[in-house]
Amino acid sequence: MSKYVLKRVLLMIPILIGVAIMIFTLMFFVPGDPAEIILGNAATEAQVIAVREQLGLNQPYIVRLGSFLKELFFHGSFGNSYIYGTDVGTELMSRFPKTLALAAFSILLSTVIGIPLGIRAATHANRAEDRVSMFISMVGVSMPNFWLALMLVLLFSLKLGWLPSSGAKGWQYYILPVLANALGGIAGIARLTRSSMLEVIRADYVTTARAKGVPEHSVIYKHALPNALIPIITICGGRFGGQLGGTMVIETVFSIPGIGAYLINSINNRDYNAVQGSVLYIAFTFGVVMLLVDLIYAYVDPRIKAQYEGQSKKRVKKVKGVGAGA
Amino acid sequence: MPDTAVKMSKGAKRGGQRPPKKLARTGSALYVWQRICQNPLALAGVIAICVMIILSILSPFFLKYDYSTIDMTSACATPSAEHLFGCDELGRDILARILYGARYTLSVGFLSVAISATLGIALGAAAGYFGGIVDQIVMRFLDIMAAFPQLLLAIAISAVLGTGFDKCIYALGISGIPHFARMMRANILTIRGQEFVEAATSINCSKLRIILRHVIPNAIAPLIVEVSMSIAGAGLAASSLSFIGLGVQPPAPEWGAMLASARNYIRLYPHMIMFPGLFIMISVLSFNLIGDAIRDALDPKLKD
Repeated sequence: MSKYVLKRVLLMIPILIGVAIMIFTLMFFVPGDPAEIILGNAATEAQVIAVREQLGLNQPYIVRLGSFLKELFFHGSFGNSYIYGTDVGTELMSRFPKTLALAAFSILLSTVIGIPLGIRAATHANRAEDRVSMFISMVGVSMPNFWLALMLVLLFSLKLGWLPSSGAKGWQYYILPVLANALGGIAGIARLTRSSMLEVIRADYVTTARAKGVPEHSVIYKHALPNALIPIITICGGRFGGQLGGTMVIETVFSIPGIGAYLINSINNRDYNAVQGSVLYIAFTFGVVMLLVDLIYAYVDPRIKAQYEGQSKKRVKKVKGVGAGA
Repeated sequence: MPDTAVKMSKGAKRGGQRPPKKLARTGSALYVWQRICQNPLALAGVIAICVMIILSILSPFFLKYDYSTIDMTSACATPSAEHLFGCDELGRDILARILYGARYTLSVGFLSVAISATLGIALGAAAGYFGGIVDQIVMRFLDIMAAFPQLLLAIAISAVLGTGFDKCIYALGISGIPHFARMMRANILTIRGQEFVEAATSINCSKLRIILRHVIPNAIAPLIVEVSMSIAGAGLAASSLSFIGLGVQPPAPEWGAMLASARNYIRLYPHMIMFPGLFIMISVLSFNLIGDAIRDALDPKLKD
């Protein structure tokens, strides 16, 4: 098992470097001169040349890429914002908790509601209850989250006045964003749980459990559910990672100062160093979350565990076999 | 089991004399179509999309108002007999704008998925069929692309390309490639090792014939589901992009862009945000329902 973990962690390194190179290259092709963006319209030719020199913008692509990678991986620096001159890394760090909270609570709510709904739909498969809940969840999957957010604001903030419509000054500010963000997740996870459960319920070991007289409740929750949950872990993890990058639209609707809002703001300001930094930051976090999910998956799924543990055992067997033959 | 239920009730009405309608060969296009027709929700989806396309094309001919005519006297007018969905902040008829805007959302959905499916299938097929070094290069590159959440990748690409209808299509198209490529590769790998390929080889089929007649048709069928679901996803992503100011730009009546400008009037004129969002939802829902029905038709495991 530790071999698997090590392998996965080591495989992560070239991907992170690749991600950094790709984003740098993308941003390299952005039209417009950073020096002019930094100085604004009123700059003289001499000033622009001076700033270009100072930032090393005159150097060829390879040299700039090299120094960018060195800064990123050895000093953990994302560079400075073109517009505000502040360190992008510090800015992202201070904003990260808000995005994380939003993503974590959304995914928590999605699983807590989505999985039981899916189980119920699966155990009542093809009855009216199942059909209605699956249709509703399909509507939920299809609803744009920013529109739902606006509708929630309309109802709970403007009409009823129960909850604040923007900002992030306390827990009550997170209720609407989390709701808007989680609905798609609830619906998606419910659908997935249902299909995963349906597949498992038809498996032989479930029939066996029923045949030997295990109560239905225990068949569902002890025999079927743990196996059905395995693929759901991946999806939940993927959604969580996706949420870290995908909350940006919700963050703009509710003016939550998270990473997504920073990214969009930076794009509008043509602050490409900040764009590069935030995209990298989100991609790195996403990568790490996906790695963790894979590790959890391997831990939960005995088949993957067996693959790695089996190797050493097989070798022993072979040696024994040879010995017996001789 | 909706299909048998429908069949049985039809049969029962006619005194049980008529045998159930014969279905085409499993997996064929005709069979998928027959299954969609038996699923009322999917059929509703197909009809909704067709109606939307037709109305969007014909709307300039039968609507009283043009989508771009500004009329400040009816600015922010609430829904009435004159303006069914009301008017926006510049007095433009929202119904006309929504019907015209369907062109943007639907074409972004279709075209971007066409890009990602074509390139993704080609890349995945190459990686799966040739294996070795080609596979390594393609897969490592896709690993890097898959390290981004799809919307983030689309946003990063549109930050570079700039905004606009065509650029929105490229951004969404490129960001969807890894998904298709990975699926295609996995399909090719499973099919390459199956008996019918071996059988084809053993009766001396040419390599080209094996690829074109045996491998590709079998590898592509499962991707049809993905195409339908991806169109739904791309429509949703396109409206998100336009909503945050990337993608299609405001004077154009793209639904997400309409929502973005209507947002400022949410307090006084909620009708302005109600309708564009409703139409995004209906179109995305339709594609999802169609995709679901195709999946049921193609995947015998999920059939009851």
